[in-house]
Amino acid sequence: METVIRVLFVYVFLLVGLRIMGKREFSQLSPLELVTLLLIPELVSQGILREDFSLTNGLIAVATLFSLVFLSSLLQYHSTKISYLISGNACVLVEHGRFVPAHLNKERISPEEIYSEMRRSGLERLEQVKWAILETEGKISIIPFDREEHPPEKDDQSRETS
Amino acid sequence: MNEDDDAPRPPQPPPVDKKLQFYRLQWVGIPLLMLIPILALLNVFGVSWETAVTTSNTLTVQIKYPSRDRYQMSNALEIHIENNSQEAIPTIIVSLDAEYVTSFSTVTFYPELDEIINGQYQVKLENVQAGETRLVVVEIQGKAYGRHKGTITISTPEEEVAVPIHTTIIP
Repeated sequence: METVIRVLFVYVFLLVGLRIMGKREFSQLSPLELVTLLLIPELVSQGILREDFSLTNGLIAVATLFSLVFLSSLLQYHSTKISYLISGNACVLVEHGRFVPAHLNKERISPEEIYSEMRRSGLERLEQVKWAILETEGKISIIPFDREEHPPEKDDQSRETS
Repeated sequence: MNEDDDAPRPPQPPPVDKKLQFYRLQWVGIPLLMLIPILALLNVFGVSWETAVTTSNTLTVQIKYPSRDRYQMSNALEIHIENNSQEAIPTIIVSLDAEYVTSFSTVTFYPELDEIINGQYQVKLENVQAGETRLVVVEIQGKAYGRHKGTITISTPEEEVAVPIHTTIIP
């Protein structure tokens, strides 16, 4: 009985913690961030299972976790508000060839990282980028301008948002 | 996090009619999966206790034991023996079946085990006064899966009381 409550508590705590940390923590991990994430199960496993290392207790913990993951995904699918609460929204980093500095600052994404993603997409100049979006799972999507569309003027490369 | 109302938004997808729809495997599997934590909350897989009380001419014996235990979990079996006669009893012998005891690992007796005779683990209680209650505690740790039956026998020079007990150890 206690295992179910402990898994629920740890799940909610991690959900809130990871949400506060921001989207970049899910994907583009530095070695230190990777070590931090790997340490989490080491730190919480004893708190969940306590001294009970029976197979039954382990299966109860896993079934509880699977149930919580399924319920979360179900709620996220059916409610935009819950989806926002759990996963947040995709965040625009570049809009029509211009950085959105407020979002770069808040998500701690450097222009170099955007350029790195642009190069992977075969783009070399910011003006070629229609959208650069930090997805909810932490990956950066680059959408270039269509051939018919006109990139913005080169002298204005960033816009400020609050 | 993106809470700004005036922040630029990427192209949004068109709305979709959202319904509760699952694959056949999920209709069966997900309720079964969710049943496990629900049953666990109702303590179906947890440790459960039973109490057996027996009264004879001179003794009242109350035994609290785990009727369901988990593998490698430590629990204590408590035997309360009350001398309800008007006289002191010089010796009370508490015996546990070896068959039951060997189903557990790390078995510790309080007070200490005196001897093992004829497949019986025996603890002697001496000079039990009239109206006095003595406690024998046996700490046990589940080892062998399955249901284990045993008998706790309390003997005085005049009589013998036998209490059957059982413990199911789940993996």
